Amino acid sequence: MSWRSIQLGNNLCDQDQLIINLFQGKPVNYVGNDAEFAQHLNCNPLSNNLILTINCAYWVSDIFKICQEQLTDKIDCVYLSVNRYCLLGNDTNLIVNNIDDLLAQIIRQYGFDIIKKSNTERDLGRYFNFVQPITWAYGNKITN
Amino acid sequence: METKLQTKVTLENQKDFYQSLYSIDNPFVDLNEIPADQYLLVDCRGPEYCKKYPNLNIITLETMTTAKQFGLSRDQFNYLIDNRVFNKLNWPKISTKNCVIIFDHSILFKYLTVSEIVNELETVSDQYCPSIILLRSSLFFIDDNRLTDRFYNLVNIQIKNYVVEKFYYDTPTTELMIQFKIKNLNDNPN
Repeated sequence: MSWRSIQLGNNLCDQDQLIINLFQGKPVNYVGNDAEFAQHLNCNPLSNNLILTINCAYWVSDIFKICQEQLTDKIDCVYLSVNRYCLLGNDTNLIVNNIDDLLAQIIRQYGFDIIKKSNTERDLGRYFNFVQPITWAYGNKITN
Repeated sequence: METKLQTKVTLENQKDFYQSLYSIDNPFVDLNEIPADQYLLVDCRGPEYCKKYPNLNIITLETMTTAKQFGLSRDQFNYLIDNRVFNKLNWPKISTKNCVIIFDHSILFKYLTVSEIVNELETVSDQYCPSIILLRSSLFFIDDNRLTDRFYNLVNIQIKNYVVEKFYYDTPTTELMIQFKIKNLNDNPN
């Protein structure tokens, strides 16, 4: 039994539901490590909608690299989330004040307008550690 | 900040939940390498440690939350830590002598900041006067500043009247282990 199913059974957590509501059944390219949650989405790796959840051990430079790979020109709409507790440290010379600023900077850098964003400061179940605590942002490609 | 619980321990998931939460497959701390008269195992697989080391004098402390949620029977722990108020632990009175305190991936420290952890370590050091305090944790669960080189935050952990005897920091495995040793306050240079 997976850690997700042990904790939630067949239920969805608030963040799962939030993501589902943001995309409303539209095709999405899901990039993340939660295959069980992906089953609740209309997954299509060729979609212009991207759900990118960074939820395993990583450095700040890894975030930049992953975003560079995934936030390509063809993406119109993105949900980007980072589990801050998985961050191993800042291995760059960039001064980053907080993860919120980092995500906002990345999303804008790739030409997106932030529509919604938030963060969850603490593990919502004290144990629930596969998608939370997280910082997330949702944005659309800026069009002229 | 309000904490909205999203998960619940039930009779159905109780066993799996406990095993996942307490990382039952992690190797044990080798207690034979730390000679002492008593071993205080705090919120860390106490019953399993007792089975592993039947000849050692192990005293297990569990939080009220763990005992209640996982239905621990009275013979599965020695003392309860009152953790009904988040971030305010009440430690039980225990008569100790030449004891060692082990925090092995203890859930009660999960997501605490470095200063909050230090506060608790100072409380237990004052209360139980251990010769050794061993803290083992996943780096994931320590709420320090991750946007600097966090190693330097962690090496600054100090407990009054204790020195750092061992320090292990491994980002690939996300393991942190710090072993503190009580200062020899009877030392007289003259």
